[in-house]
Amino acid sequence: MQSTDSPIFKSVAVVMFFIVNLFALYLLFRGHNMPGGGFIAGVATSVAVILLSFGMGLEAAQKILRSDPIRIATWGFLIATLSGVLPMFFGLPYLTTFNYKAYELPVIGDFYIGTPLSFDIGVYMVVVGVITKVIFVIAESTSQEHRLVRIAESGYCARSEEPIEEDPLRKSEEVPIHPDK
Amino acid sequence: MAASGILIAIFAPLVGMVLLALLGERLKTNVRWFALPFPLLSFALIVLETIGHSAGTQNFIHVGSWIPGLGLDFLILIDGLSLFFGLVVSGVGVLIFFYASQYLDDHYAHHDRFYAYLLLFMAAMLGTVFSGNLLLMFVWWELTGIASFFLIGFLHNKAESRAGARMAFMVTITTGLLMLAGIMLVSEVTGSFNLNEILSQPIDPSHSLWVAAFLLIAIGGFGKSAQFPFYFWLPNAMAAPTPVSAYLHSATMVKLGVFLTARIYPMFSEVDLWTPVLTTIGLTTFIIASVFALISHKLKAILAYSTVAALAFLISFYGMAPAAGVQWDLMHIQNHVFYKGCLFMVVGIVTHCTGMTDIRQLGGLRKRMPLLATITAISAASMAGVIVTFGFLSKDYALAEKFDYMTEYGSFMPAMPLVLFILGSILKVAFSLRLFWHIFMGEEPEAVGKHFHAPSFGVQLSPLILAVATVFFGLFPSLLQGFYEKLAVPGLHAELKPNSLYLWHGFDNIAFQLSAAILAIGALLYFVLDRFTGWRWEGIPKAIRLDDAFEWGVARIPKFGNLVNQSVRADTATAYIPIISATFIAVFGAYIVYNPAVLGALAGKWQMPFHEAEVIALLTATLIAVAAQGILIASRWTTQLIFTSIVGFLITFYFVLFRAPDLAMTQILIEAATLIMVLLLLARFPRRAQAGEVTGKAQALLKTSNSVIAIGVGVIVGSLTLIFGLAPSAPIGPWYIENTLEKAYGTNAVNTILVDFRALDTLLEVGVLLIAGLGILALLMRRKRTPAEMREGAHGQGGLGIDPEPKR
Repeated sequence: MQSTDSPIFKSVAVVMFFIVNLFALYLLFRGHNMPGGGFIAGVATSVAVILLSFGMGLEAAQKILRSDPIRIATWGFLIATLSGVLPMFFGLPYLTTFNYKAYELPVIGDFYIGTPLSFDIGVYMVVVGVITKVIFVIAESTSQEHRLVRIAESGYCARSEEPIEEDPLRKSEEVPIHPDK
Repeated sequence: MAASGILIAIFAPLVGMVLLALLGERLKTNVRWFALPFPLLSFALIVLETIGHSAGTQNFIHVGSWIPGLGLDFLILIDGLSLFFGLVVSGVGVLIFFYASQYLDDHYAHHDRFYAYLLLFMAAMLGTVFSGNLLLMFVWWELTGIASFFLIGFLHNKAESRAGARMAFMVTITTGLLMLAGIMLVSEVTGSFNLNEILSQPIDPSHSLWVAAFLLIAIGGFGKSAQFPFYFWLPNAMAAPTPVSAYLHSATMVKLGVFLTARIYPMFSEVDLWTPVLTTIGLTTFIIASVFALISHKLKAILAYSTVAALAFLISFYGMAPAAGVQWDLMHIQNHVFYKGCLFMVVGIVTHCTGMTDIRQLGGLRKRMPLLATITAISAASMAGVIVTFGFLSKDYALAEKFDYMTEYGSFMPAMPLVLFILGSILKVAFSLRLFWHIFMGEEPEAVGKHFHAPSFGVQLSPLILAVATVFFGLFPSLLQGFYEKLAVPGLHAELKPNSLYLWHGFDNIAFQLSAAILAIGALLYFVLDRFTGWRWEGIPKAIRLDDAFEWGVARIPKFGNLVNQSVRADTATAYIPIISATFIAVFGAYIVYNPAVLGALAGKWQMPFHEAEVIALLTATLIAVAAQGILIASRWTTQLIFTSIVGFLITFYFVLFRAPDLAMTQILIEAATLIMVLLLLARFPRRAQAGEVTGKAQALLKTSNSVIAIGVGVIVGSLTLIFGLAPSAPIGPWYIENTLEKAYGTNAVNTILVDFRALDTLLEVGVLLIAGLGILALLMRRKRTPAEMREGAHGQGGLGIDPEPKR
């Protein structure tokens, strides 16, 4: 997606990106005690990233994530798995939780730190990774970002198969997908 | 102490694998010198353990519980059998790692992966043989299959490597799963997976479950050891680099079936089927494989079939064991390890130096490679059973045992084993002679000299060590008597007579006379074949090749799937929905017609809303229904989409009414994300297609039937909600709410259920999410249907699923 022409939307998208993400982190960290949690926070962050990609363009938004979202998701899965493995070193069953209560922290107040939090962070990362990746790929192909599509293909498409998306630079005999443009 | 040594021996290669996998890329070919210490360490530790082992004992060491709920304990069993196999695996491992370091040159890419896979395999093998828990053994067992898959497919740009890897994997894993079923039955009868508990129980050997367990576990062993009818995978596995063939597919992994037979001997040897099954399968395979080894032309295929034959002999050997227990089984195994490992390495060197893989292309290499010729002569002689080699002893004692079986205790076809064994041994002599003669003797073909380059001494060192050992122990076998006495396993081995392992038993010994006759007839057979046929045939006839049949069957599976797909699929989802819904109505309708009394349960369930909250809920529900009607009325996709979103947001409100803020928040965010995604997707469709979708008016009849179906489903689901939804008999919710702070240190019960009480569910769901994400990517980037295929319609060649074979 090319970045939008509207300067208002652009500025608002950037500001909103930070606000929504802040809200997402808030949801993530308070999840254990109040409504919230890794899954919701992950969806919120994904929505924020997508909003940003509408404002600034897909390429810029992907740069902000710094790596392939699937990579983030995989690391998240690893973190979630490992936070369950940790108790096994102490002879406890898999996924036993450890909690440490931090009393009266400034601003935050009483707070539990422990494996549920790292588990939730893992969930958060998986959700962010999967949702943003899927939406990015769809957005790339619908907005004719052939270069980005080809980058994604090099990672996820078997060489013997042809991608589903039309690329005028590569093929010509197909029925055009966007006849009215 | 004992346990820690063995544990280090098992896990050191695993650590090595991880290290090599992470760092190996930078070390390039030097990675070989970093791989070698791990087998050395394991070997040294197991040698120490063997020295400290007291004869005839079994030590079970409980390291820890892995999954207590399943009865999976990390139980290590140290006895003669496990130590012997541990020595073989790690000892041959050292030789193979060294051989590989000399053998793999710059022509091979990814040395780091190669050694990492080898180390993984070695760890899995050691884990298997030292397991005292059957489930634990199964886990390691399958891990060896996985490592073997990677190693066979190591040269993955070659089609035969991929096919061989897939075939080996499918055969060994499938039979392994049958073995798992057998293990389950064992635990069903005895209540435990731990061998010490199983063996201490009195078991009725005619118990039907017990017999079934034996058969299933035996199939697992047959699959791994490439016995009839599974033998076809082993020759195809020879697509692997030679060090792999020498290590996995002759010396160690394929011996697991033999190991398993020995391991379950104390459990199942009383079963009536023990002798018939093992003897029949073993001897059938023995003869088939010996014939195939004689008529094959590829160097590695000859050795592969001879390996199958040797394994078959070992399995039938356990099958015919006398009631008192077996003797000298370890000697037979050791003999095979010595000569077969050596011969594999030799043919690897020959192929490496000449570029030839077919025995008919070779000849006269004795002048160019005198050392290798000597090594081969010794090992081939051992395979044939010529005196002064270790193989002679093995054959001598085997003949004596078969003779005893015939005359003394044989209950199942007493004379058959002796006859078949003699027959197979004659064939063995013939192909041993052929292997040596056709590579090293005779005239040298011109083509051999063209590409020839001499092998280094280093690459010949490992086979040399094995050949020297073959002769040394062939001459001084009595040195091993103490070793075998030490490694005796209670319940498996009979007591050995003192000083009963010696070379010379005299001329008037029936075994010696038979052995000499076998050599003579075998040599005669070779000369007759050589003289009168000239080896002019194309290898094993197509008609009797089971691997072709297997590939044919595998190729049918996607074809069958394609057939089913083409006969039932429709291109639009709307075609499926009426069918599914109508089935739903038919099932419930039939139930109500059959049992009209259930309608009585509806009585008194419906109450008019009374409280303020209930009125609001009713209003919300009405609004949801109205918004849903909007989807039907709207004609453009985008408008329909907006109505769908309205439904979603109203459901959110419904969640708020029922005090579920987590659900409400999730619903809002998901609605937002879904809306964006679907809008983006709609942008994919050309306007023309949208228009087509809108103008295609449904026929009146179809419309009516669809409405009837929709109303029917609504009525049924509504009634079901009324009947079941209002009063759960034993709610589990309150327990979580009461315990959430106490047990999970959180006040949000929804979240503590997710991350604490039912964290495993969440973890797996997240895993599913990840898999689904990757699946979506794969689908999005799939092949596009060409316009011609589009015109063919729903039943055309699919752009879905597996590509059918290309049309010629």
